[in-house]
Amino acid sequence: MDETFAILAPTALSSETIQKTPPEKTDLPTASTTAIEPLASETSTLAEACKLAQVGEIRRQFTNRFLQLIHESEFEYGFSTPADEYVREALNTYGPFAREWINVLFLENFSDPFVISAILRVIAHFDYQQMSPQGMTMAAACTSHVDTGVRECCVRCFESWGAPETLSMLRSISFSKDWLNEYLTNVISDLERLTNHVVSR
Amino acid sequence: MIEHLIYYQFGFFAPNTHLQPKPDIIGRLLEAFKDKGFIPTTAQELQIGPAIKTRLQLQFTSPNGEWNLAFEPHRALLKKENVAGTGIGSPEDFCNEANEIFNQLLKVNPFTGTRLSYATKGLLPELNPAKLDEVNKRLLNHISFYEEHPPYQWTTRNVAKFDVSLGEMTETLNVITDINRVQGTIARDTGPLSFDRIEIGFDINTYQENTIPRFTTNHVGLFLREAVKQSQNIMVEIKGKLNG
Repeated sequence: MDETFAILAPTALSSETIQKTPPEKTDLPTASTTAIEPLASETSTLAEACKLAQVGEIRRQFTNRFLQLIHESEFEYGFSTPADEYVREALNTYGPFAREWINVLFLENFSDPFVISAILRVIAHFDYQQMSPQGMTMAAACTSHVDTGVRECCVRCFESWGAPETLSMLRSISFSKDWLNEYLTNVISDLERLTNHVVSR
Repeated sequence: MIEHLIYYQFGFFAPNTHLQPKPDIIGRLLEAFKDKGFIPTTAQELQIGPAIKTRLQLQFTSPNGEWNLAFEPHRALLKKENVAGTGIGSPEDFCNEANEIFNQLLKVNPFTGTRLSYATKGLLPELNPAKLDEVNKRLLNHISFYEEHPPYQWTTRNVAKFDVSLGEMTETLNVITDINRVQGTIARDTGPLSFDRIEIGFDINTYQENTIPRFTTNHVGLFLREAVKQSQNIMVEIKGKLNG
């Protein structure tokens, strides 16, 4: 069966950001053009376009409410916030869509340390697998953030997740601040111990 | 001649470019793109049909959205967009950056390319309505209806094959030129600006029937220089035609 995939771009369903990719199970594309095609050619029926529009509307509502809760919540390590509960609910209802909405919100606010730190604190409270892979890519993106507080939050995510599969990536990271490097080294050591423990059992 | 460039794009087609967003892969790429300041992210690919299915695509992007490197199923696609206020730079600058980025990428993920592509699109400076109609007349030979009722929106696309040398290889390129009259809005610092202009786009790529894995790092720069040269030569001819 031919499968047509379109890329839902982070910000909007505009013709400039929707892109046709070749069918997965066939050979390379044979058309001469390699430029981006408009959305109109992707949606063969109005019903399909409406489905996408509905998803967009739910995303907008989720994003607005989540942002509001981020600004209203007091984040303290070890304590759950209404923002955590809201994300938990969204994950239960919308599954992978909710993770991607958080990812989009994250990208849109990358230059805002307050929002980015808050998102990292929320996602740190979930299991690694529950937030995977967007949780991991968001935390990885913050390893080079200009704000030290954000960089600390991202290390805390990896510490909280305790996922040995992130070890290879963490080993490739280094920070300019000594204390943060020390913190990262401790997290790596803990994960290594965890890995050795699992292997030895 | 182009006043507002919309984007530059370079595509490296190869099997297995759909890299998964996994920590070991991201770690390698973070290291490779450290100097570029790219951050990892994902984009949702939607299957449009009776039941919406999703899967994730790994991308590396600059925090302001200007650069994006997407690991699509059959190509790694680098795109530079004109983000308001940053200035998009010259085609030569893009080629140099793309060359560097793919040098780094192919060091850590040595794909062998089956096809290469370069695309760009931009808008000419504003023209008055009479001039816009004049451009259409210079390019197209209309049937009587459109002679009497000049179109206010139109597209033209020309695709030709052209042989070039890329190092030791002779390659056939598709040279595609789009000249269109389009209306829309451009994002500007001062707010969206409506326009009615001539849009010129190039899509220069290696011929689709040749799918032999043959392109390596060395070919990226050679191809991009050739593609930019061809697009600039055609641009000179377009200018002559429109001004002639």
